[in-house]
Amino acid sequence: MTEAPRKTRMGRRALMKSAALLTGAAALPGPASAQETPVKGGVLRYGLSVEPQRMNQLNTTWMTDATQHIYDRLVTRTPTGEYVPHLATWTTSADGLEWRFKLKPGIKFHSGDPVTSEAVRWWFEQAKDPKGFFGFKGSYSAVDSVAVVDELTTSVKLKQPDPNLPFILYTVYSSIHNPKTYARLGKDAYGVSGVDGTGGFKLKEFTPGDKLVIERNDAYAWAPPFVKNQGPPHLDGIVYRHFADDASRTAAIEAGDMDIIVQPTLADVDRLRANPNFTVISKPMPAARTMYFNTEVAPWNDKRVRQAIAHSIQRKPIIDRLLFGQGVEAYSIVPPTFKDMYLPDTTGYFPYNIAKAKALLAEAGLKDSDGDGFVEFQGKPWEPEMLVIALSEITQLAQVVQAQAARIGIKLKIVQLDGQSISARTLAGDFGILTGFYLWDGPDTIMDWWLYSGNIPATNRSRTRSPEMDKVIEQMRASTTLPERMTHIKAMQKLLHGDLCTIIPIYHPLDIYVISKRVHGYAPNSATLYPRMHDVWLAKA
Amino acid sequence: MLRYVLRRLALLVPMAFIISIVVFVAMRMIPVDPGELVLGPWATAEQRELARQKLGLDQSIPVQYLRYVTTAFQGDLGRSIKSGKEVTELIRATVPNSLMLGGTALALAYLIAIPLGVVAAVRQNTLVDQGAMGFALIGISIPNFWLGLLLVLVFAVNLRWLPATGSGTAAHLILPAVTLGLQYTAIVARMTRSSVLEVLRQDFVRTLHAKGLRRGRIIYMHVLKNAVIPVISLLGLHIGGVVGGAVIVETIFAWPGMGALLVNSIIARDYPIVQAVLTLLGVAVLLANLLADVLYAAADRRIKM
Repeated sequence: MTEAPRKTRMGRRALMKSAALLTGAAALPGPASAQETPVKGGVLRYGLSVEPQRMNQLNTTWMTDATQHIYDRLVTRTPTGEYVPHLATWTTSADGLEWRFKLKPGIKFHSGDPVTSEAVRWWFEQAKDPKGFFGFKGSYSAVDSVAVVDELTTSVKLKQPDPNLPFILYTVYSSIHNPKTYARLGKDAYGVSGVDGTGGFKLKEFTPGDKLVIERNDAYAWAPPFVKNQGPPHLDGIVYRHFADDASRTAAIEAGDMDIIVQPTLADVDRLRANPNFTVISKPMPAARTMYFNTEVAPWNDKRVRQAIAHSIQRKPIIDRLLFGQGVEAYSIVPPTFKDMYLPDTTGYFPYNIAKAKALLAEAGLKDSDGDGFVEFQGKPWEPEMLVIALSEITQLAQVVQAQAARIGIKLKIVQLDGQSISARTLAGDFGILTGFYLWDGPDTIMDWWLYSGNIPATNRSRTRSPEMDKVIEQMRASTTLPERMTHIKAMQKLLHGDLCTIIPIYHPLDIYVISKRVHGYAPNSATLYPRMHDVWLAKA
Repeated sequence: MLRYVLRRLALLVPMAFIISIVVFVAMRMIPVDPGELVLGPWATAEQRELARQKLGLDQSIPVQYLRYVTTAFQGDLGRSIKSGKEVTELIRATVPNSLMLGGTALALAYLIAIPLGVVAAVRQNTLVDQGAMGFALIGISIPNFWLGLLLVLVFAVNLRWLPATGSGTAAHLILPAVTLGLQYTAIVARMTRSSVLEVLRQDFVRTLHAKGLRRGRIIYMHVLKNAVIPVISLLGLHIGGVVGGAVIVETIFAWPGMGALLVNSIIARDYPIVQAVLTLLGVAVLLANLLADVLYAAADRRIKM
């Protein structure tokens, strides 16, 4: 066994320092003033754009902010992207096939039960249970067996080395639960009527459609090493409210009903930024809005046609006009903030070029023979459907793409559907082109899901079948070191965005937070999906 | 009257069954992938099948319906797929809010609209009439979402007199109730006006004038009583509507009512909630119509029950 360094520098995840470079936001100190002394007490009112869901990752993949604060994980990630111990320190064997996690002593669940290695073993067993509903069990596929060594130590044996393990263990989807409470409440009620985690906040009330309330865990003494406040949180609690409408959410903070909101109306961001009562922080989401093709349907099965579309996309007007500047042009599925895995060359692969696009279409046999400005397919007028989710932002994007495709002679027909109908059609292969989206801080995993032929049709909906891509993905999975893994991730981008074009990225959206001046210590950064609350405090009114 | 009400209530049972069957079948007709609902778009085929089995969707629709009805009679309408909460609990939490908002809005609307309509009719073609009907026209024409946001901007954001969103205090109720009520006010005022005008032209009103009754007494004791019947029809419709919640108003004001619950559930394809709420709404509309019929009889003894 070799002792893992206290701060294991996981280069791939050092990722997001460049968030600041892109927006200038993550480097901001946030609304906190370091000189002021934190005040204990007060309830933070937090306006969400997504309705809170059940807080049990074994039963859903849809997490909510509160899940971050109710539970802790074995591993955590610093604001600069390094993986460090949280509930446990760890060692790895020389061959990388055994990881031993040693829990810090004295950690207790909200119920008062001590956290033992049995809870860690239970978690690993649940995560890899083939009959379980855990959506990320694939990320635990390298885990072979788990055993309790002593009260605080757990041994995890792997089938093959997995340098990506700290990443999955850091995510909110690897939160540690009390197995006893889980068994007592049952899997349906756990995470709904009660939870038992180790986080700085406890669940107080969950009323779907109204609010989710969490309150301080006064026994909390195991905060992540990089936060200032190592004791219980300063706040008495947090009330989360969901606002389906962006304008209502924005009005709520302007009226003083909320202390923090996420995702205001994009048109209002600059106005709010100029308002001295608020601080606005924006950072690139680990996400991408894309369009992709059904590569089993002609003529989208011809990469020259897909490449022609790639040449037709002008991203800047989309960012400027549709998103009011609140987005980043995307040329790779991997956002540029993931510095160690992002391939900068992607920006130059298929630049906007109408002439080249038309030439590619002509090579593929798509020509405008009747002079109506649009190409024919197999000698007949061609108006392929583009499926879009019936949301205004997506529909507007589709209209721009439609107009841009028209410049190269492709007449797209926009078909608006709800998400489930689109999902059903994509699963059945009943589509040609559609808009896609992901939000997950592991874009390498997304590429694996979206591009490996073995994942057709559930996750590889473009039905990309490329022996070269499969080979690179298998090499990435089998990597034993992070640098090796990064090399393969970059190769995947080169192959996808420089040749296959089965998925075309359009933009990376921004996470935007509007924060009342009353709030101190709130500093979202790109290294975590859900901003931490340990150092947050409220000024007395 | 009592026998009539009981008979109508008994008829509700088969009607409720029919509604529940229509809703249940409709929910099964739309494309829902339970695996995706529970596990997200990256669920494997194996996981999707597991989800289908867990939710009982691998059974035939009649079997699923029988199971649904059986458990529903035991007070179990299932659990929300997204939040995991029991559907009965969610309905219990939202119905009072919708009734409070809808009831306040309707009370506000009818208390303003009926006198307004009467005054407009009595002073037909005067400035008062034109002003009242102009107000009604504006009320009908302004979309809820626009009026709601405007009121929030003025009274919550700028003046800071009232909260912009949420629930819990009487102050929270004012803006959504006014937003919702204005539309009802406008409709009821116009209906009252035209109905009163029609009654005013009838012979018995002339007779009452000839007998020397005071104008106010004629209007409020005789004309209004006759004119109110079509307004009662509207009330039946409006009650049915407000029980379902004012979807847009509830969304704008983040009001935790049935309308918002229904819409969010439809968007999320959270079908256990959708089928329960829609069935409940159907029954509520039937009850509202029954209430309207009873009120008809109370207003006009000539109507036989």
